[in-house]
Amino acid sequence: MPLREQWDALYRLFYKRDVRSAFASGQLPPGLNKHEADQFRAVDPARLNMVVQLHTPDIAGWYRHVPATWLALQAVLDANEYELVGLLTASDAFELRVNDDEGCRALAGFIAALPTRDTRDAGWLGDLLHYELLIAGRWPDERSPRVEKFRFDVEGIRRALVEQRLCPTGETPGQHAILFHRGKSEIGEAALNPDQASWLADHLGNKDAPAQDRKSGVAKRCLTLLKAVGVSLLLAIAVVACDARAGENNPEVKGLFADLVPDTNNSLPKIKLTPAFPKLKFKRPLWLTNAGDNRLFVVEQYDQIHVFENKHDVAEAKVFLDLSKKIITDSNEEGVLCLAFHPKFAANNYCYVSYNAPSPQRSVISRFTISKTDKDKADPATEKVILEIPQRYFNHKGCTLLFGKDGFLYASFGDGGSQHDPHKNGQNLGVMLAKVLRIDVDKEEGGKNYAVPRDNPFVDRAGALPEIWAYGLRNTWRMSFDSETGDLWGGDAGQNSWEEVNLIQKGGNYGWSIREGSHRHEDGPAPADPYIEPVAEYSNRLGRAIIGGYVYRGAKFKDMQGVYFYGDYSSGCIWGLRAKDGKATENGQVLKTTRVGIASFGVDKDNELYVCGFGLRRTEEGEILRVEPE
Amino acid sequence: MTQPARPSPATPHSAPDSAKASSGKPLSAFERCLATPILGVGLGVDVYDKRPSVATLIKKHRAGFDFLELYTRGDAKFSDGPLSSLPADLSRTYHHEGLDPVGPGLPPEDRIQGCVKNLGLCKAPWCVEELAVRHINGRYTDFFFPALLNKDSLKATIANLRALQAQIPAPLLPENAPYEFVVGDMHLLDFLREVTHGADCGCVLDLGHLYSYQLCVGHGDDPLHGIEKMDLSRIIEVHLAGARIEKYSKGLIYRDLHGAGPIPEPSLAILRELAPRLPNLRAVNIEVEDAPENRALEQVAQVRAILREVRPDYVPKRTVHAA
Repeated sequence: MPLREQWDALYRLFYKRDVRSAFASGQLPPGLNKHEADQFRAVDPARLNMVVQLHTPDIAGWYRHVPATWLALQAVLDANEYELVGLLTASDAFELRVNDDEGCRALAGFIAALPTRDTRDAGWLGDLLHYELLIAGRWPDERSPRVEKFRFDVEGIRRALVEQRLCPTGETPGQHAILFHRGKSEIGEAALNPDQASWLADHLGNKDAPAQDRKSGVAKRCLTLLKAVGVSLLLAIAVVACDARAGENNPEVKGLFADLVPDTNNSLPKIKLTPAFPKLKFKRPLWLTNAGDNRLFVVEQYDQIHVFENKHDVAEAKVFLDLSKKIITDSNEEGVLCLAFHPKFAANNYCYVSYNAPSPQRSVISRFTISKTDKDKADPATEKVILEIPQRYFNHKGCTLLFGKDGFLYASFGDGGSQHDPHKNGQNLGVMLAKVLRIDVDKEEGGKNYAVPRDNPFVDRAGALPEIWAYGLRNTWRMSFDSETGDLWGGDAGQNSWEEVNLIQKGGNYGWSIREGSHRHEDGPAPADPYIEPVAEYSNRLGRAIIGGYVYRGAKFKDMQGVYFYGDYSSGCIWGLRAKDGKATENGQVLKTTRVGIASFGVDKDNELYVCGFGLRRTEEGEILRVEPE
Repeated sequence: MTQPARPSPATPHSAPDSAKASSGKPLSAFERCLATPILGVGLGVDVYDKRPSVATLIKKHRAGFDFLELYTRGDAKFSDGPLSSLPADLSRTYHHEGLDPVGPGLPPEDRIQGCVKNLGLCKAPWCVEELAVRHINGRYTDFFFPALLNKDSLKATIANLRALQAQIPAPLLPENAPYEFVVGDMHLLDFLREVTHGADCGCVLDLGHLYSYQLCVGHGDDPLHGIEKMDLSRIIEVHLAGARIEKYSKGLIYRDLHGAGPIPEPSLAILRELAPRLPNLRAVNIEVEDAPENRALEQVAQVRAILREVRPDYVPKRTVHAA
């Protein structure tokens, strides 16, 4: 196993649910993949001093400087029950979010509010909380050890969260956990969706406000139980199950968080997701497309591209193309990323795939040819590399491939990764990262396996790459053409604050890394081209990773006509948007959340809309869901 | 099988005193360390700490220690003030964190440049970096994941150290990180030897961390088990720190407390036995973050007493920092 994979496996192993007890018992924890299992076996138990201690040590030592992490939340939220961990950590984004001062303050508030009692049979958790208190204590300058004086009501928390079914482990849980506390003048919170915002606004934003009937049953239970454990006034911790309650009306949000929630007073159709092909399961399905016929193609991130008949009860998907030996696997944002069929596919049998390759790490766009004898097979040996871009980090790769009505290939690339665009690729027209490219794959020129369309916007600008169509895009993971108008829509994932929906125009500058959405991100030189405002944006309190979708142009559902649907991987929300002249006329939530991680939207030949859904945990299989009116 | 004998008492190398050897060839990182005279017994402190306070130590207790090893939580953004205000006559070294030299690749450029910047401010003769990672695949961990002890890891570590050394103006001294679990089939001291030879660098041997490893691999009763595997001439600096040895169901575990506890006896025992055998020892650093000044100074006195006894020639020469 390459060293990178060894480290990644180790990381996931040690941060995974059930691992502590697994090490203690010498049993393999459930749900490990092969690499993880190998890694586990590689650790000689005789050499291991209880992984339990991994995050409890050094209470008074140098760990005190380390920001709180989701592990603390894990301990706080679910004590010895691990059911919620996957939900808290459904995305790396949440992990990063908690790993900051805001998360620390919330945690500090939580811990400070806990009754002081002996932890007795959960000493390790008590240790952990000690440790986190000391970390959190940076603000009031209480770094000095208070270890001997501090005790926690671990069992009380456990009762509240699990045994009293505040966090019912037997039900399908929602995607969000929220942790917040109310101090004298502020509320700190993490991971918020509109339902939670409503609950917050109702019960904590204004403590004198009477409870509203519209709050969910779960929220009521939260409040009741939190009062029962005596922490409700200073602190509330809630896990809100959202998915199964999609039938409720959207809450009206007032006060504190109202400005963060897209308008819900609109005529947008509420939607639901239903299993499109209940007999098919996929491993991390992240793209669905069609070849202009009644077949659907689903790209699995780390393995294969599958093809199957677009039929509800289809029972088998064939392997269309296997790139597993060419790609980086087990990296969250790398692998096989997209598939597009040539506009003249029926005649030339060409399809195009974007993927990430190792040694050296790079993004690749390649052409493959479909077998003449089997239209459901593409041969990896027919690969012709069209374009390669060197990469150095593991994230922000883009990459959607689309053919426009002009016959040219459009490809989105992220800024190349890490955080905050360290190499300032966003505004650099001399690199292909953080751009949408437009190339002609039917011609070759200049020693490249493609040509540049002469009407590309930067062909005559000195220092600019002629392939660039638009720039200043942090990571437009998904984009799509409106099949009726030809408009190019993209969802651009933000850094820490704003996710944005863009109408991507020729030569457009979308601001990254100087701007995040319509907001300043950092200082920089004057832009070479004026910034284009997003059509819509939402706060990272409502989600952490936008998934650009499609303008619905199918025939089945009239109410959905002309609505651009987009979602968020982290929160599971789906929004709808109507726009005119590049500005949103309606924009609102049409589905609170889902029971899958939304990886992509996709369409069939009739422009009916689907969602590629990841399982909420890495080891869970994903599925394809159909978007329908509620 | 005959075991190799433990190394004989120290025979110091002749220390080059310029940036180039007499042949005109640039000195290696290791040789540059040798050009630095003995620093004595120092205190490892976080410049942001109030306890012990760097300012107080410098102002009131200069005789109580020989040098300071400065740590800045790896944060280069706010380090200008604390690092640039150090008095010129204070010997100092620099302890960085976050270059992750045992990881699968190099850290992001900004992290490397942060280290370069701090070294420039600090003017230290070398830079200490743990053989551990704080970032895995871009994710920040709240735990020092120590080096995986296998050949893949060794190869990557050597390559990383060489590449980092090319960018960092002072010699990098890799330090053995604390172990609470061990992954891999190499012995730590084999790994350290290969790293120092492969990257042609010196190293820091943290005596407590060595003991933590021995506890993990079942040799807590012989903290110097396998020491013959190590090329002791490569050890430029040793670290000591407060710790607590705790009992758990599978044995003992080493709790690194730094200034919040006494130096455990096994660490001192290693020092007694090993110090005479380190021909190129230039610095003995006691990491004392979170200790009140008086406790930090007591620990210096304790270690000085041991060194006077077992290594009488280990005497600091003069104030040392880079030009």
